Amino acid sequence: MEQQKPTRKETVVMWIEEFRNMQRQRGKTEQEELEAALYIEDVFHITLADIEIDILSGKTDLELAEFILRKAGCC
Amino acid sequence: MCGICGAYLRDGGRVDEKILEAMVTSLSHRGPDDQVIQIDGPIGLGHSRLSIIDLVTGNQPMCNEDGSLWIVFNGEIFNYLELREILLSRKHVFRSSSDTEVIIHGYEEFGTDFFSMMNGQWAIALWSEKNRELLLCRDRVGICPLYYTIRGQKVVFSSEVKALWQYPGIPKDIDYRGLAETFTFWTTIAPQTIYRGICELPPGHWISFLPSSIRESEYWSLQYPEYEGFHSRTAADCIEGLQDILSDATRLRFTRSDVPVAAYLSGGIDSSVTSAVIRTCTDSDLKTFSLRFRDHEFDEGPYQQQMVDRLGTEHTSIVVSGDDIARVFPEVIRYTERPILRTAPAPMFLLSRLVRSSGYKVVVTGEGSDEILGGYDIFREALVRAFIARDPDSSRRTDIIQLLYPWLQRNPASIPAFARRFFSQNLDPMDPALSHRPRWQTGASLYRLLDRDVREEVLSYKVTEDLIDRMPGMNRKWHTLSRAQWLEIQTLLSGYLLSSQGDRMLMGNSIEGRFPFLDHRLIDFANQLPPRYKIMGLNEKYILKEAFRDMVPPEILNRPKQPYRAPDAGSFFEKPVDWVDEITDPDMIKKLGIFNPTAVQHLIAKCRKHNGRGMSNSDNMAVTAMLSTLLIQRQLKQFS
Repeated sequence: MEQQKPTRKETVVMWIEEFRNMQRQRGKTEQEELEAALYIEDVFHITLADIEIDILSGKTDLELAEFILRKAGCC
Repeated sequence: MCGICGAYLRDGGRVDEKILEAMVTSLSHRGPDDQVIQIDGPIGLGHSRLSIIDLVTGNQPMCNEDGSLWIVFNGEIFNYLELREILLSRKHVFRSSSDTEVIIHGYEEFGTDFFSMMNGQWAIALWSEKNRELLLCRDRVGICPLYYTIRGQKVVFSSEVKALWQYPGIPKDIDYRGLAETFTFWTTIAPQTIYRGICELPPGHWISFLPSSIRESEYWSLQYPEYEGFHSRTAADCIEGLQDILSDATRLRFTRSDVPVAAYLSGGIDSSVTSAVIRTCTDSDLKTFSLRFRDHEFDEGPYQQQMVDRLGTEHTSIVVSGDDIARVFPEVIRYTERPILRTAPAPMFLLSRLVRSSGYKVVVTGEGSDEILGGYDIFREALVRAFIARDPDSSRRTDIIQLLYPWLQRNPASIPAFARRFFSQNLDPMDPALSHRPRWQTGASLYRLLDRDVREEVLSYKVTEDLIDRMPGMNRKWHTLSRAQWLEIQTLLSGYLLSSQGDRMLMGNSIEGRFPFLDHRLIDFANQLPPRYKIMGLNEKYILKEAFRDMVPPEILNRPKQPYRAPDAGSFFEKPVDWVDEITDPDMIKKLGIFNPTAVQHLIAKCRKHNGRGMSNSDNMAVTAMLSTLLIQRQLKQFS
C-alpha cells in the first residue's frame, strides 16, 4: 500500500518534535527560546519579532506549527 | 602513499638521469621502501615507494601490456578490486594485483572519465607515448599533494616542492600573493602556492600537457542543493544512509591493505566513530594511537581512555609539551613547505613518528567530518550571524551568543561588546562570505609585521574577493551552512588540514593516512542532507551523533566540541629556544627581507614578557606565522 505523504502541518510538528527531543537529550530546557527561534527561522524561512520569540516556549507543538505555517504564508 | 616526480621536455631532448635521481631521493621520506626512475627521451618519471598494496609486484613506474602507457602514482584506490572486475570483463589482462595497474587499464578503457569511477586518494602522472602526452590528476579533495612548474617547454612535477627545486632553473622565491592568501585563509588556494612560478594542481582536477598545448579540467566539485526549506526527507532515512556509507567507507579503508592498519583516537566523536566501526570489521587486535598534551588546557586523555576501554584496543599515546613543539618546529616547517599560523601540525608530526616507530605504516583517522557534517564553531557562528542579521535592531538576539560560547556567561557584562565586535561586522545576510569574514580579518595583525613595501604589495591582492568570485553562481540559493562549508573546504581543508597538518606530518615519518569521512560518496550524500540534520539548532554534527549513538559513550557524544589545538606562543617563549633567537635577530630579518625588524622585535618583547602565555589569538597566530615564514626563508637560502 502506498504510504501517504505527510501534510505540511504534520511535517512541521515532526520537525519541532525532533528539535525538542534534541534539546531534552542535551539536558537543555525549553527556556532556551533563542536556540528554538534560530531553528524555526532557519528551517521555515520566517523572521520572528522579539515578542514572538518570548512566547515560543509557551506554545504546544501543534500551536507552534499553526503559528509557523501562518507566518510562512502557508495557510 | 608514496612520492612521485618527473619531467617532460616538450620540445624534445632527454631528461637528465642525475637530476631525476636527485628529485626522487629528495622524496625518500614519502617512500623509503624503493626509489626508481625511468627515462625515455623527453619523459622522466620517478617513484619513491611506501609499499602497502601488492608488496611484491606493485613496483612503479608501471606500464600497460605494450609499454605505450606509463604511470607513477601516489595514493590508494580503495575500490580497485571492484574496478578490476569491470576491466577483466572487458578483456584487460593484469600482471599484478596492485591498484596502480587498475588505473592504467581503467584509463585505457575509459580515458579521464575513469577518475570519476575511482574511490580513493591520489596524485597520478600518466605518460602516453602515442600521444606524447603527460597527464597529471589529483583526488577530489586534495588528500595527496601534486605540484608542477612550467619553464618554457619544460614541465616538472612532484609530490613536494623540494623535489622541483632539484631541477635547475626553478626559482626559489616567496610569492607575495601566496603570502596574502596564507595570512588571510591560513593557506594558499590551489593553483596558487607560496612560491613564485610553482603551481599546485587543484583538488578534483586533471591537467594534460601535449607538445603544443595544455588542457585542464575539473572532474568533480562540491554540489549543494538549492535550499527550499520544506522537503520530505526524514531523519530516519538520513541516519540509515549515513550509517551505511560511513561504515562501508571505513571498512574499505581498513581492509584494503597488505600491511596492518592502525587508527587514531583523538577523544572526539569522529575518530571514536571510525574506530568503533573498524572494531566491527575485525576480531583481531586493533592498534590505536593518541596525542596527549602536558598542558591540561589542550589534553583529551580521559575521553581517549574511555574509547580505548570500550573498544578494547591495544593503545599507545604520546604526551607532547611546548618544549617538544619548539624543538621539532623547524623540521615540521621543512615538511609543510609553507608558513603555518598554528603549531597544531607539530604534535601530529610527533604522533606519526610514534606510529612509525611502533611498526605501522597506515592509520585511519577522523579528518573531514567537521567540514562535511558541520562540526566547526565557524558554522554555528554563521547560523548565529545570519540569525542576528535577520533583525539587527532586536534587543534579544545577541543574547544567543551565550549559547554559542557558554564561557561568556561568566562575564555577562562583556557580551554586548563581544557581540558587536565579532558578529556585527559585515552583517549582510546575502554576503556569500558571511561566515568567514571575522576569521579572515584576524590576519590583519600579521600585516603590521611586514616590511612596508612587502605589506603594500600583499595588501594590493584582493584575495577574499577573488575567492568569492570563484564560488558557483548558484551559491546565493544555497543555505548559509552550505556556503560556509564550501568556503571551509576550499580553504582550510585541502591546504591546511590535509596538507600542513595531514599529508606532510604523516609522510614526514612515512605514514599513510586514510580518511573515511572524505569518501566522495559520503561527501556527496552529506552535501544533499537538510542542513538542520547537520546542525540542529546549535547542536553540531547532529546526524552523526544520532547515527552512531549506540557505538560511542554519551560522555563523548554530548561533550562540547573541543577544536584540536596546541600551545602556540607559549611553546617558543617559555624557555629560551636557540633557533628562535637566531632567526629573529634584527640583522637576519633585515637580510631575509619580508618582515619589519622593529615590529618583530616589539612582538618578541611582548611574548618574552609574558613567557608566551595569555597572548591574544591574533598574537599567537602572528608569532607562529612569522616564525614559520622566517624558517622557510632560511631554508630557501640553503637551497639557493
